[in-house]
Amino acid sequence: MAIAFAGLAQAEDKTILIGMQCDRTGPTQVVGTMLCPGTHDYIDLINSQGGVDGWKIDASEVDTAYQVPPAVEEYEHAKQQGAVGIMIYGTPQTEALNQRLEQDKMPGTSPGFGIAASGDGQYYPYLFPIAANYWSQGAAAVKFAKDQLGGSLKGKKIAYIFYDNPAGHEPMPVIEELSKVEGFQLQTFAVPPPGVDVSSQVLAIAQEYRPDFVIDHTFGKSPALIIKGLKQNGYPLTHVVALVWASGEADIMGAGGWSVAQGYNTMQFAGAGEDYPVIKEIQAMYKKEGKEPPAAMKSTVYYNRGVQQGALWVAAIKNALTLTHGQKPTPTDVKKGFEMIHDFTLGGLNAPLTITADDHEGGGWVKIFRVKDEGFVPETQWFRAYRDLIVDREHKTAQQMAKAN
Amino acid sequence: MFHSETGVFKTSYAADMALLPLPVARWAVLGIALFFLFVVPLVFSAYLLTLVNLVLIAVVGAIGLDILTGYTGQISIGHGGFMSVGAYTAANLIVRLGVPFWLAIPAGGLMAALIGIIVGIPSLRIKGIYLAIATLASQFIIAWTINHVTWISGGIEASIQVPPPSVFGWKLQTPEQLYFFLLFFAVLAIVATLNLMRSRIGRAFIAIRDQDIAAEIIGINIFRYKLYAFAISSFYAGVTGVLYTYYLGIANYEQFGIDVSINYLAMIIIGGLGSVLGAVFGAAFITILPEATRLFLTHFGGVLFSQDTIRTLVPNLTLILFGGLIIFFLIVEPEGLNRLWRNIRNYFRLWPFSY
Amino acid sequence: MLALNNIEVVYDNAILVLRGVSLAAKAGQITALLGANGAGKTTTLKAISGLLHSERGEVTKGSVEFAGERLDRLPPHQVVERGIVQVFEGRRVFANLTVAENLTAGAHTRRDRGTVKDSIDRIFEMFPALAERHNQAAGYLSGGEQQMLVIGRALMSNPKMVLLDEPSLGLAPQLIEEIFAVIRRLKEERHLTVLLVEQNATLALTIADHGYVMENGRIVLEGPAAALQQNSDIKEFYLGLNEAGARKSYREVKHYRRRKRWLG
Repeated sequence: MAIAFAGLAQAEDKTILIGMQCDRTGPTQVVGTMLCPGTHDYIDLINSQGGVDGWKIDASEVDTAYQVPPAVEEYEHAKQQGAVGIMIYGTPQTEALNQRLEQDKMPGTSPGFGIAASGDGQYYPYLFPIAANYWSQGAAAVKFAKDQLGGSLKGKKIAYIFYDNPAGHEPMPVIEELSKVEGFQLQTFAVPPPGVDVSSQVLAIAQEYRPDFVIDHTFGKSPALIIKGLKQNGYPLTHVVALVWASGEADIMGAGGWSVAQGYNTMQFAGAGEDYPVIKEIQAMYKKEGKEPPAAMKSTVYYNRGVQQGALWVAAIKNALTLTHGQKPTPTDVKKGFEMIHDFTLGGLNAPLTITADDHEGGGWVKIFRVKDEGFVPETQWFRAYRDLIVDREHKTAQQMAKAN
Repeated sequence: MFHSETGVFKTSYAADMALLPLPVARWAVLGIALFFLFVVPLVFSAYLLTLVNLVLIAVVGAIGLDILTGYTGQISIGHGGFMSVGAYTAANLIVRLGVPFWLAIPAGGLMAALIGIIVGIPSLRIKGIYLAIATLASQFIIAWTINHVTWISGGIEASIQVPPPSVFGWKLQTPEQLYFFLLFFAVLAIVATLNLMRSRIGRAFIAIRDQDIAAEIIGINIFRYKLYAFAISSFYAGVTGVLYTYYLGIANYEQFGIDVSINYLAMIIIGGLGSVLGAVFGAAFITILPEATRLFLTHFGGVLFSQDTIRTLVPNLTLILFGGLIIFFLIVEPEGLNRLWRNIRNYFRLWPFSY
Repeated sequence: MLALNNIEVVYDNAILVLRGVSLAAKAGQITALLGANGAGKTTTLKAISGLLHSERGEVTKGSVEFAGERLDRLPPHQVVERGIVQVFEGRRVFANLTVAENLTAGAHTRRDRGTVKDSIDRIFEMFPALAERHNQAAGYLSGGEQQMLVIGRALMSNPKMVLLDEPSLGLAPQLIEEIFAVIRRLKEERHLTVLLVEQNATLALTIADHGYVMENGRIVLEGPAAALQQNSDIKEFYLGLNEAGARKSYREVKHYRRRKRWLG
């Protein structure tokens, strides 16, 4: 009956449905509860302005609690309801849905996580990472360290501390390869799940190994503990760069607040802070409705990523509607719409994102923000590093995958 | 599954030993078979079939755990680990050697059984909560090994993509095709277990659960039979892992975490320990309930809450409702859904002249 | 047939429970092992049946021999295969199996599976009460029926010898008589060897051929059942009667001295 309901609602008006998965209750709820409201708010904003060429967008959210079976159920549900695509949440979920997306010709997005090789649009035609993957992030971290250490890494020592799961391992081969290219010494430190104790790793880094730079690729509670631990052991946080999931406000707060984390370098694929036109527009929308903006908005890092995700979908649908001349787009149209996204900056919240049929990653741009006073201050411009090496790796891995299947 | 009625007399041992001793039961089974063979695939939407498919996979795993925990009385919180053993064994065989499903599935099961035997060894000396901790440890060891040995995990991502199973050259991809594939294995698991439990081995399992000392004293080699139970149970778990792998198109150990092990325990407890039908009920209940509560809340929550509130409330309310319903059912019938079903059936058998 | 030679049993490598117990059970006879709570009767049975191993106990000295073969290193299921089966105290039925299934489970070690049905029929003949309830879960039987069932289940392994542990415990007098009658019948009709452990000495001695008395982990008295029945000490300590046949007062010092001599 519930399904019949939804079917009715859909037939009544001009609505384009996107399936949206989120984790508001599982292990990554810290991210989900901040990110998903951002996506909804952006889509609400567009709808309040009359939608996309008269089409209302409906992001139908379900909570998967970061588990795979619900992700599959919900994907099928969304497909049946006529969704034009799916916002995936989580790496295992992305991997499980990948084949289905291809089979059903349904575009799906996995911003900042998922399959690194899926930046290659030839082999992963329906999967859109739409943000720097772990390889690009690892390469950018090395580049950042190089710039901070005076333009050369020859003979320098870098510590890579990572969460001991597949996602944590993923950037490692890139960083290892770069250690040969750049001539630096690399030592890795694993944080075993659930990552609530990092004291021995922190001691080993700060007291024994004493690296010139630290790359932190951890999740959950670990980043906060690492910030706190390194600080206590007198390691300068200006020489620490965190990959994108160790870079949120929650991590800073967990470490003891802004004052503790001064100098900490965070990597972002969507700009941090509130100083963007689109965020102002959303605030204005709430004001007009006489409501307070949601608390999630204060957590700008994840919220803005949510806004970015919503904006990219809206952009893709807008492009798709030009292809269909205003008719309801099919999932394939939306896929093509994504591949037409060009120099999409969203008033500075985004890197100049360009997605093509070959490059679904959109360039692999990131920006480093440093903790200063009570917020994040840009330390670099949008940049990417060792792009040839990354693209080459994406091609090779994708080809291997294609051969295996 | 269906119990004796007065007025039905058995005149031969063969009749007494039949799996379905009653004519009523045979008709009921025929009806259920027709329902699952024709009504479900023809009437259910692709989305509902997806749910049913997940239930079918869960049925195999839940029955497997029930053999160990329900029938033999040995608790395990490590079945997620055995599932990943099955999944990776099969995925490696499929991808590296191109092994067909009818070899990959038993191979995954057998490897899981082997690991299960090793994990079962402490069961000779430890019982109850202590054994639970030992099996829990095995889950972590298995996860760690898969995570760190790329020869098993197929690379740093620790996930191996697997092509869909093919039967006589047909690739099984759509939910309907996979439905029949999974239905076959679920039914196989049900029938095999019902028969196993009527055999010498099954009786030994129950004897060990009911009275381990008395079982030992009448000549049952307890250690060997406990290991049999671990082996058979983890074989089922391994098969479940392979079925998941085929179903999702990927082997990934993060899908088989501790929460999965606990979910399966919840299935057999809520279904009723030591009953195949109970395991089936439990698998269906635990798989469908979160989805049902979610649909209910999304569609009818609008009466009470605004859309924004629903988005933040629904995931949490689903959890609360899910937990609440489990507690409710256990209070109503501590022996599980299977017992509830029997009570209802017995009531209507005597109706309208109860007592 | 069964001989215990000077055995010593230690639990957990620390607690000495049996010290130098020797006893012999002759083929085709009922041998009674009497004694108070904690005297070591059940431990003696476990030393024979091999159950000690699963309770961290060990026969550290002496030997248990059955038909010329050492038993004291064998696990329980192998002891059963040799033809000795123990009936545990406390009526441990498999509550969720039916009566018939309990009996079938008792035949676990038998190789001749074809004749199991006949054996079940014979048990039903011996205990008609069980036949009536053959399809009922054993957990729902009465105490007496459960005791019959565990004895019947033990017999299903076609044993040469049965170790019976307190078959009278917690049963009504009438039921006890019924069960003891069956034990006697088993001896007479099947020539079964029985080692009977009892606290109810009077009753045990009426059906036994030979008797042993245990105290504090050692055998203190031994003799033909008829002689034991007449023994004044037995009468006093276990049957609770003095020489005149009247109730005895515990204040009497003589009693204490005699008992002390026993235990010394």
